[in-house]
Amino acid sequence: MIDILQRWILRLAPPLVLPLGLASLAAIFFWVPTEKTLGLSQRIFYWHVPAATVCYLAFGIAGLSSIAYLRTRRADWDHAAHAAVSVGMMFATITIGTGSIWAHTAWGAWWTGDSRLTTFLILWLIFASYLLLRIFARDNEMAPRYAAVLAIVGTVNIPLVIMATRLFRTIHPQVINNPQGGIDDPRMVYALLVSFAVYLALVLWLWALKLAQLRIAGRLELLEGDRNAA
Amino acid sequence: MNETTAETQVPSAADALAQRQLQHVGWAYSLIFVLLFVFAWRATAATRRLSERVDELERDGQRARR
Repeated sequence: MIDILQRWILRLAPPLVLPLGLASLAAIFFWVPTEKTLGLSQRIFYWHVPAATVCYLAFGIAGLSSIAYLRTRRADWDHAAHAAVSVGMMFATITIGTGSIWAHTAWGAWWTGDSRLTTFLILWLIFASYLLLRIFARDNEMAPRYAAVLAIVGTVNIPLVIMATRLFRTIHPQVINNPQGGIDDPRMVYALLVSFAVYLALVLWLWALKLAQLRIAGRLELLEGDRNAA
Repeated sequence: MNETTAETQVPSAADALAQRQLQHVGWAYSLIFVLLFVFAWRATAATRRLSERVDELERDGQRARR
C-alpha cells in the first residue's frame, strides 16, 4: 500500500508544486491588499500558517504510522513514520524561523515566552529528539520501537499546540476564526488557500522522496548483510 | 534649494517601517526557499547514491550465482 502511495505521489505532486508555488507568490506579492494593522510583514503569514499546518499533518502521519508499526512490526510503517518526522521537522523549522522573523518586526523581539511559541518549541524538541534517536541508535534493534513511542507522544502534543491560543493568555495573533478582524478580504482568503495547496503538494512530495530514500537504505542494509554472511 | 533636496532624501518614518518590514519578508521567504531546496536536493542525491549501490550489489549477486 505504501509503495503504491509513494509512486502516485512522486508522479502527481512535483508537476503541481511549481505552478501553484508561482501562483501563490504572485498572489502574495502583487494581488493581496496590505493588512491594516500588521502592514507588509503580514505577507509572511501566507506561507507561515500553511507551513505550521502541514507540519502538524506530517507529525500526525508519523504518529499514525508509528501506531501501525507497533501493531504490525512492518519496516514500511517505520520508514513512513521516519520520513514524516524528517519532513515535519523541516516545516516546523520553517514555521519557527518565519515566525521569529515576523516577531522581530511586530514585537521587536525574536522570541517570547508566549504559550503558542513555547508549546510549539516543545513539539519541535520532541521530534528533534526522535531524529537524534534515529541517528545515534541506528544499530540498536529497539530503536524503531523507542522512536515510535516518541512519535506518538509528540503527536499527542499537537492538539495542545493548536489550542494554546484559546487555553492560555497569548500575544500570538489569531488570524483565522478571529471575530475582531483577521483576514477579512476575499483576496487574502484565496491567497491563503493557494498557499495551503502548495504546501500540501510539497509535504506529500518531500515525504515520498524521503520515504524512497529510507526504503532503498533498508534494502541496501539487507543486501550488504547477505553479502557479508555469504 | 538645498533644504528641498534634504527633505526629499530623508525617508519618512512610515517609509522606513515599510522598508524594514519588506526586508523581513524577504528574509522569511529566502529562509523557506533555502530549507526546501536543501531538503529536496539532499533527499534526491542520497536516493540516487543508494540506488546505484543497490544496483551494484544486485549485479554482483547475479554474477556470483552464475
